Amino acid sequence: MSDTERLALHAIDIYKSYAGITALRGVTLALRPGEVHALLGVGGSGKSTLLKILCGVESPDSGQLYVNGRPVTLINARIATQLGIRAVHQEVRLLPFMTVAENILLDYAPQKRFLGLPLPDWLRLDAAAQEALDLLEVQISLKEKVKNLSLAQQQIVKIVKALCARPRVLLLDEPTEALTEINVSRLFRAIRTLVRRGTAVLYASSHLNDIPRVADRVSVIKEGKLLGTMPADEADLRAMVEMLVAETSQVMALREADRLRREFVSLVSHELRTPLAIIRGYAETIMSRPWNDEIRQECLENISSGCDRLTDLVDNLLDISSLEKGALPIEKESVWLPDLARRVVAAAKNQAKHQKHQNITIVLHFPPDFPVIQSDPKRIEQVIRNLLDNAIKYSLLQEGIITVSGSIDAENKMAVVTVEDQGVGIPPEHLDRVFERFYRVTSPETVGIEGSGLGLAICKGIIDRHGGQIWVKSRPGQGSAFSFSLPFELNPMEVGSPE
Amino acid sequence: MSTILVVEDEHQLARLAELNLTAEGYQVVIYHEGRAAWTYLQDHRPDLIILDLMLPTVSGWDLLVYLRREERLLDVPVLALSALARPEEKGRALAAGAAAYLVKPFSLRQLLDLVRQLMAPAHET
Repeated sequence: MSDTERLALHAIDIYKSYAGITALRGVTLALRPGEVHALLGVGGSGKSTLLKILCGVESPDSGQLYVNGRPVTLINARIATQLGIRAVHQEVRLLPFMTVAENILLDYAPQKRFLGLPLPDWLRLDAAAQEALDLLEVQISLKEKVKNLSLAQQQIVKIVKALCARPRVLLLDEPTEALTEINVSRLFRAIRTLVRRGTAVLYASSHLNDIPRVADRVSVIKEGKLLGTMPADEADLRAMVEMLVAETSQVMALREADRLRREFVSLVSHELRTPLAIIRGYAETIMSRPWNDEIRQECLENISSGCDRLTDLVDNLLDISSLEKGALPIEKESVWLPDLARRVVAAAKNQAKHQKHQNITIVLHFPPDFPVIQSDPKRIEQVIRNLLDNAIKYSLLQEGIITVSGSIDAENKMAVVTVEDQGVGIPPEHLDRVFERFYRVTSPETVGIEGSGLGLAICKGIIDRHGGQIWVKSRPGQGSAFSFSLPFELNPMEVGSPE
Repeated sequence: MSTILVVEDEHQLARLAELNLTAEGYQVVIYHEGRAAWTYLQDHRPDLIILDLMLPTVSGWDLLVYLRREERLLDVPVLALSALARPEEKGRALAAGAAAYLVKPFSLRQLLDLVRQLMAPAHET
């Protein structure tokens, strides 16, 4: 006899997702006849989902169920009921205006025939319900309407409903939630009696203290994964708490994403406020007194450059939103990168003259045989400009040389452009994350350097869309070198084929 | 003539302050980062400091703390500028010893009125 055959219920490799959120990731659980198996996990860990699958209320996306060694597909709760599986769910409510007996009938409906017609066998129902109530050491009138019962009594009725049919497998989802301590003790005694009669009980709980009182074995479930199963008396409670509490990488990643998003809002707010302050300040300055022409001109230029900054920010926000939707427009044409890079560098030099970075030298170096490639010139210009702006920004106020250079990776048919600075550099722990959107390197040296955390994410998006790659090499204190590669085909002019 | 120290890394905003404050008859000294401004303060005592809180090298926040530890500079009022608009940031700046807090984008009138008030506290109280 195989292991599976000796088991009351065996779930193997169960997966379940709801609307893209994975609730169960390959759960395997074995329930032996005559055991109380505790399923321990915090809210949202997948306990309830697993129980619903085991009683046929939900279908798994994949995985296999065995009941008494036979493979089954629990397409609905009725089939599970016929196989002797009963469940007490957390959220299922009783019908308040019906009596206790009538509520039980919805789940457990013994029938007798009268003149050939099937009728509810109330006597059998009463007897079964009374037996269950006795087992639970509780007195509740079966004729009482449910609405007149306390929450604890209603919870007991839910358990009675499940017990009436004398299930082979009983699934309990947080059954002690509404119960007082005295009723919890009674429930636990009842459960022990049931398992002595051979029933298998799966007891889902988030209460660690329940485990040694009622369970034979315990499985810990967390974020849809079963972390382990152990005998309850050997279970180290401290170890279980640690299993439950320790954050997995996934949760940490979610938290990090949330933190970045909040940081992004404050960064964007800062990025908006600075150019707005420039525009407003200079506009009000012009109006405040009769300045000479030279100063009026200076004010207007500053207003104009503030508008440019705002426009850039809006463009970046739109780009990042297009990238998220996978809809960043790319219009390819023949581009000779050395020419394009020269224009970007000239504009940057011009800008640096007016700004705080007057000590920076920008050097351009491309081999003369650099190939013409098919790419979107505006987008590639955007990438080079962005890398160059970063190089200038992170050179801080130091003197420094920035090199924009081109090279050819003939083997992979790639044209490579590198922007190298002698600035603050990037600590190694940040290197693989700088291309993530909203991600910004924070260090004492970079306090006060503004940015929305979007630029490099957009660059990566653009290069990805061209079938190229973007990467960075850096040493803190010595500088960074950002490179991107773009695939090139043989020049159609040279091979002489029109299109 | 009263001297105002402006510490602001955005050159255009620093120039904006310089232009208007000079026209108002103040002498204006400008620094674009915290460390150089702190060096200047070692042997100068301006009548007012306009301080952007987000600066390279030594941040405005740090500079504010240093200023309030220096007995010689204790009486120099600090007008903090910031792009952080949350009330807790303002509270933090005032608690750190700023006399006033202006959120960007501020109006020119607000700036000049505050400067006038802070330069003549005796008349105000």
